[in-house]
Parts: sequence; structure tokens; C-alpha cells
Amino acid sequence: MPSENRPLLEVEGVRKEFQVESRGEKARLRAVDGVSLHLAHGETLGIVGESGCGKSTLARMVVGLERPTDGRILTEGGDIWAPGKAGRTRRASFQMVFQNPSGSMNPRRSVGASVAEPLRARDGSKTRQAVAAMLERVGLNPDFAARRPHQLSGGQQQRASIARALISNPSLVVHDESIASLDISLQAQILNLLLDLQQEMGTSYLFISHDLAAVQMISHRIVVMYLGEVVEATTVEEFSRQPLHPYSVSLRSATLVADPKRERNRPHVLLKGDVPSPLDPPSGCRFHTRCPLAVDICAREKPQLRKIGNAHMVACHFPERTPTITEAVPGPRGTGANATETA
Amino acid sequence: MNTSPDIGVVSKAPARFRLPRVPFLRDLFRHKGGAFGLAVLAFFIFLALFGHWVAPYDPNASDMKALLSPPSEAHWFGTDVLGRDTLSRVIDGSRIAIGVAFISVSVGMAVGVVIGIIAGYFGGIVDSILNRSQDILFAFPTLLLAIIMVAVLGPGLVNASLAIAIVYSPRFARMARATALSVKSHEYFDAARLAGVGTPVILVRHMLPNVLPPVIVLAALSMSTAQLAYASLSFLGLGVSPPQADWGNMLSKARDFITVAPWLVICPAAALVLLMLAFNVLGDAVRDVLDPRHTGSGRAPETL
Repeated sequence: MPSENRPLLEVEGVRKEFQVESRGEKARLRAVDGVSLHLAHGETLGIVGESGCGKSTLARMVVGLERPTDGRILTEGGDIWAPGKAGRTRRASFQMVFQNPSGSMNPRRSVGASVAEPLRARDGSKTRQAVAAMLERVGLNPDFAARRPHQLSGGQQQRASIARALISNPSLVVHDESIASLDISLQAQILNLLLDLQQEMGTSYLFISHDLAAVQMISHRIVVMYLGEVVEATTVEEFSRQPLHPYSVSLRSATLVADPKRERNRPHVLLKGDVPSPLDPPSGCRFHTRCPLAVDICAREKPQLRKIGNAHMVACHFPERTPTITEAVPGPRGTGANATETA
Repeated sequence: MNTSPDIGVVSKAPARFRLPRVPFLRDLFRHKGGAFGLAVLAFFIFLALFGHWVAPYDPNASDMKALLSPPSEAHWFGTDVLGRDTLSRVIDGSRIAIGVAFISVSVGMAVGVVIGIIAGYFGGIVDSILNRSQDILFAFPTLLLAIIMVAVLGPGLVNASLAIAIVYSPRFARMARATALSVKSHEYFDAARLAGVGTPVILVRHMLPNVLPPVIVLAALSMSTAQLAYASLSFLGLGVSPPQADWGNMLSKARDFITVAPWLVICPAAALVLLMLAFNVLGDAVRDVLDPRHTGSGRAPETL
């Protein structure tokens, strides 16, 4: 039963398959394969992984744009796909900020009309003041409401998208690569804006990105996905101290450290080859084709996601063999160690 | 507020909510072709509406003293074999030409857009059925299908317009479907669904305005051919019934006297060509103006 004690979001063994045609033959593509995760009120969960690992599909399922093939998505204990009004209300409490800022607003409507849409779909009263207030809150001039999206810059468009996502006061906002298309200084501004808004409004974020530094800056916890599966889940402090899955380590070593001396001296784990096709995923551990530590058992047996230490889960047969990381990239959230936090 | 103050904050500009249609018309007037097309079209629409007052004679009244008279002071465009004033008949015929062009194209467009949007948005089996049925219509040569339709429905202004509308609907459906498919994949569509907007509202609010621009251009360009198609039907005797003047049947009658009274062919044909030209040029202008990134004059901005 729904109650305040349940986590805001629970994803239980969610699976999504697409029917695709490859070389004239019908095949099933498993974009997301048995993902479970949870998210508390006011928390930010970062999801990282390469392109094509199912991050976006997971995001679309969480907000209810796609229906999972299998598994459940619960908010405060209630299924978002429950029939009738209950399900609709639950789905309405989730919003999303999209990757492409210019494509996420109807080019033929004013920015104000786009921002007001979630509010107008609900009741429709006093939208004008609410839009002006919300635009101001995300750092835009309220007069921008009268403009068309293409008259705004990319950063402004993304701020407007954030305003639209937040205007109906959702409990969860999913960011699907929402800063990926912005330049680096704008990324920092938007991240700071998101942190401020979270403090003001208590919104939870599901922050999906391939940019590890950004995810580490904004998230409380991090989930690493590979080929539709969760391979590691831990707090951001643990993750920046020592990731345990070889894939996470390779992701970490792919991010540059600002200091060239440290950058040259720290251990690097380079991955060979591409992500295998999700149409025909490798046997056993899906990462074994690219893993530098793979042995026979990895190709035969699939490692389960198991708990190692405090709040650290990893799906690997030999997490203890994973190379250690001595250098830490941008500090975890809340330590005050990085400059962007205080900007 | 703890956000960076420099992004998106401009000096206070007065908030202006402008109607989107007004710049459209203004830009159309500024466009050379658009101004010409609009002017010619307005001229013909004026003739269609007020032709009875403007025309020097009753278009159906015979002047037995001036049969087949060449252009003169009394009869600017000459008279036909029954002594009817060609100028008055051309003016009266513009009513039919304009009416048919607008009725057939708007009906065809409405039908086509609805079919196209439904096919594009819902996809799957709905798309297949609608698309195949449109393909069948499309497979026939335009005029042949229109003739078959009129033969089934019977001749007359309304039936001929309807036949042309049916023949023209597949091209609108195709364009609407193609645009709907590309619009559907846009993120603002997902955003609207997330906002909790219902499907019919999404289709009207987000799909229709984005599907219409290319369709309107096609409509403007189709008006000329629709008008020509009607003239052809009427030439073949499938349009309005006689005494009513009509460019198509005027040409058909004039064919017999082409060597002795060429003005009977030249005048309605010139009117036909002028109206077609206006529709075509206007269609091009509408396309230039409706492009959201257009520059106003239809030319790219000069770069240094």
C-alpha cells in the first residue's frame, strides 16, 4: 500500500524488449534487462554507462513514456501502470528534461505556452503568474515567455525545459543527458541551478549521463549500467574512492584529471572494442568480452549483483582483483572540495 | 536566488504578445512573388464576388446585332457566336474557377490531413490500411479518376469539385503523414504526453500546427492544377451546365471558331493562365514565408 515510508521510486526487475528486424529476420532487442533500483525523496541517483546501454530506455520507462515488458515501477509503493486514475496520477508526478534543448519545445508555440502546458493540463488557473515566477526561478527573464524557442540560446532553452519540468511540482525529475549538448561552462551553471532548485523544492532527480564528473557532482548515489544491466550501485563517496567493477574503473580512468602530472601517473584501464550487440549479448558476464580481468568462469556464469561492504553492490566474480584507484577525480557531493559547488 | 545572474537576463524589454498570423501576412506582402500572387488573386476574387456589378453586359444575354464581333469599343473582348459579351462571360467564369479551386482544395486538404495525421500518429495496421487505400487512389491518372467520379456522381459544379477533392486528397495525406512521422519523433511530443495532455489535444495542438505549413504550400500549389483539372472536366462537358459561363466550356465552344474568332480562345485562356500563375507564385511565396527560419524577402541574409 502507498505510504510515506516507502521510497519515492522503486524499479523492480524491469525489462524492456523491442522487436527489431535485422537482416530480414525478426529479433528481440533487450534494451533493459532486469534492472532494479530505488530512490528516496529529495535524493539524486546518477545513472552512468556508454551509449546504447539502456539508460534512456530506463528513463523513458520510469516516467511512463514506455511500458516495461516485464517488471514493475512503483512510486511510494503504488504501481505507475495501475489501471485508471490511480496510475495516471502517479505518472503525472514524474517529469523529464530531455537531451536536445532545441527539440524539446514546440517551435511554433511560445516558450511560455510550453512551460505552462503541464499546469494547464491539470487545472489551468493563474498560469501566467506561475510561468513568470518559474522562469525567474530558473534564472530566465519572465519576458522570455513571449518568445519562440529558437530565439533562445541553448542554455536558455534548457533552463526553460527545466522550468517546464518543475512547474507542476513533480516529486521526481528525470534528466536524460540534459546537459550533454551544452558547453562546459553552461553545464556547470545548469548543474548548480539543479542543486539550488533541489534544495528549494525538495525534488528528487534521476540523473542520466555519460559524463562521470557531472554525475559525481550532482548525485548522492550512482548506478553503473552495462548492456541493459546494473553492474555496480553505490554511494558517490564509495564510487569516487574505489569502484569495484572493472567496467566502472575503466569509466573512471576515461575521465581526465585536471592536473596533468597526476593524470599521467594514475592507473589507466583501457577498454578494447565496442559494446557487444544487445541483440546477441555475450554469455555469462556480459562484460567478459572486454574485461581485462576475465577468466573462464566469466564466460560461463553470470555474476549476481551482490552486496560488498556498506551500501556497495557489484556484479562481478572477482571484485577484489579490480585495480585500485589512488587518484580521486572531482570530489563527491557535499565535501565542498570542488570549486563549482561554491559558485 | 543563487543562480548565475548573467544567463538569459536581458535589459528590461516590454513583454509583447503578438499574434502569429499578422507577421505572416506582412511577410507575404513583402515577398515579391507573394505580393503579385495576392494582388492577382484578390483581383479575381473581386471579380468573382462583384462580377455582376462590374461586367458591362449580362453574361448570358445575346446581342443579335453583333455575332462573333471582334474586340471593339462596345465589346472589349469581342462576342461569341450567340452574340454574348466575352468579357462579361470571362468575369462570370471567374466565380466558378475561384469557387472550384478553393472548395476542391480545402475539402481535399481537410480529408487528406485527417487521414495523414491519423495514419502517421497511430502507425501499424491503421497506417497500412489508410496508406494502401490512398495508394489505390494515387495509382490512377488524376484526370481519368476525376472523369470516372463525375461520371458516377453526375456532372455539375459541386460534383466536379468533390471529384477533384477526392482525387487530390492522397497527395495531402501523404505529405501530412510524412510530416506527422517526423513530428512524432520530436521530444516536445514526449514532453506534452508527460505534461498529461490527452491524445486529441496533442494532435490538434502539437501535430496540426507543425503538419500544416508544408500542406498549406502544397494546397496553394494544388489550387492551380485543381483549377486546371476543373477546366478540363468542363471542357469535356462535365462541369456546370450551359448557359452558365465557365472558362472550360467557353474554350470548348470556341474551338470551332478558332480561326475566325481567336479572341474567344485567347481571353478565357489568358484568364486561366493568369490565375494559375498567381496560384503558383503565391504557393512559392507561402512556402518561403512559412519556413520558420526565413529571412522575410525570401533570400538568404547577406554574409560578409
